[in-house]
Amino acid sequence: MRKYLLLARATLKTYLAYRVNFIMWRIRSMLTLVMLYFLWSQAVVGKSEIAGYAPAEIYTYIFLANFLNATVLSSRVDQLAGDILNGTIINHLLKPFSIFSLIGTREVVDKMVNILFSIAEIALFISIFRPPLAFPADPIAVLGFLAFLLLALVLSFYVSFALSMLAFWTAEVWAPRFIFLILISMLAGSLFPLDLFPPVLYNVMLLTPFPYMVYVPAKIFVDGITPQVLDFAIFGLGWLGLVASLAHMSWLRGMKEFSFFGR
Amino acid sequence: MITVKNLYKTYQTPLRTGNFITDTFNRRYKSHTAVQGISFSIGENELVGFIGPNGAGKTTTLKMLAGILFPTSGTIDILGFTPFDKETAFLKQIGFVMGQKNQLIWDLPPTDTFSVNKEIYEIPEAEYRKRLGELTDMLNAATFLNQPVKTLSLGQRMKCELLSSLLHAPKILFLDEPTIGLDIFAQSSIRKFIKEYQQEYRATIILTSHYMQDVQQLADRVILLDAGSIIYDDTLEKLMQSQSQTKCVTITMTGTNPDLPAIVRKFEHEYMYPQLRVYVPKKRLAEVLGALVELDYLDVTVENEPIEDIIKKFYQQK
Repeated sequence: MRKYLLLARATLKTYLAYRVNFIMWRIRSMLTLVMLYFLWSQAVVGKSEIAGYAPAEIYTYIFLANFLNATVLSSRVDQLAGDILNGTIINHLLKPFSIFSLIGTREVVDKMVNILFSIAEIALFISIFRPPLAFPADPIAVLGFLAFLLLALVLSFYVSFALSMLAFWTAEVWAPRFIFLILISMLAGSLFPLDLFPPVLYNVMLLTPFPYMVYVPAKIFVDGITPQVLDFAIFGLGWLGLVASLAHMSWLRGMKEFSFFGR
Repeated sequence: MITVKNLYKTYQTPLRTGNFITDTFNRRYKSHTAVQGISFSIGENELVGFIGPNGAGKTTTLKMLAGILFPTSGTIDILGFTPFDKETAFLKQIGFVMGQKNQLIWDLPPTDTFSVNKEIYEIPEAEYRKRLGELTDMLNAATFLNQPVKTLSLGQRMKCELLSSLLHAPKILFLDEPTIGLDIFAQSSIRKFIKEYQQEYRATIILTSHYMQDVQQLADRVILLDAGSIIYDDTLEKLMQSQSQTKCVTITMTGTNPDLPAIVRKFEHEYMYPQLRVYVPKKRLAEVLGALVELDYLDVTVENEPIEDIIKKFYQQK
């Protein structure tokens, strides 16, 4: 356990070595929230609901989506692709410590820092603008939210890990990642609830892994436990199993095939 | 301790035809065999130098021995382990220092990397303190251990790299060009340390270096590689004796620029007044020296042929 703590401490210290980067990153997140809040505050003027969402539920959703963006989607696993391409990965391979544990520990620190700042920022925002909010009446919804938050974190970790594995076979790893980021921004539900889309499109989106990273946890918090949660669980866990297997298999295969030629 | 049998490593490198469609969807590969069926054994506490030109297969072999690369065929047995399996018990007994690669946490002082390594390698506190103290003294590194790595000079960083890789007292140490880019003072202090470490910790060390001084001063035995094959495996001394039939005579002259004695002209020589260097077969040395001392001179030295030249000749013969 101590090794994880020390590794976490070293990761945290490297954050502090680049304080301005971190502050800028947080400012970016705050600006997104401000923009989204004012956009929606105009959209709900004079309306009691939009597509079944009361203004309080919309505001709650966008705050949660902002929080999930900061925690689930902010990741440093993509650095692994760079490590493979420039050969730094060799340093990890020589250590008696699993790469998944090593990167997982760093990721936990990254998430914790982001969770802490995101909560503080949202709390500050709410205390200044005092928007109406909708809290779930049933505490089970909060537990459901936390369970799906965990699923979203692990799913996002493995998706990012699997994408980084491309570096074993090609140096052109950034193009697929950009496509992934575009798909995330469109399909994860970071800007508004996905069920505002027409039902056919919405159902197709639910077949992809992206909604399980932002939309589904936020939706469960706002709507509570509905029969649809079972579908969310089946598809979410299915995607997790698939992506985690893919990540592990490509790691093992990449290790055998990669040459580290000249690195 | 280390047994390698019939080891091969073939790399597949993609061929670029310039056609985007073909290069993307029907990629072709070219095979390059970097290591071709090499076999050798290394015993406990040996220090073996791997020598060879770029692309000879030195680093590839080292990486296969450390379990980084998967061999195309052949077997490697190190302390009863197959390196590529990366068993914890194996990884705890090896250390790998790469002169061209940084293994320390770049933004933090080396002590932070040491603390993390202490936990990863599960080194007991007392043992860690003792070894850190010993290695710091041996490397004379106490003054810069608390500076961020990014602010260290190359020589200081290399000392910290060594320290970091040796805290868990590996039985086997791989050193890939540990003195590359260092000034002569840093090179000499790293060499001194490696020798002391080998003696004090009874470690087995495998070293690659392009600096012949490293190999000459450190290695008990050298393995010469060429195009992935072993072309020599024995002591450096034997290689020098068998290859060096020539002495290098250097004379620094005074007075006027003289005509060179006829005997000098018979042998390979470099002359730029006031310095003359003649490569003389051992058997004719007395004869040449006799002619040279007739000239007005300030200094005369007789040396063995430089080791670089001997090795170059050996490669040319092969």
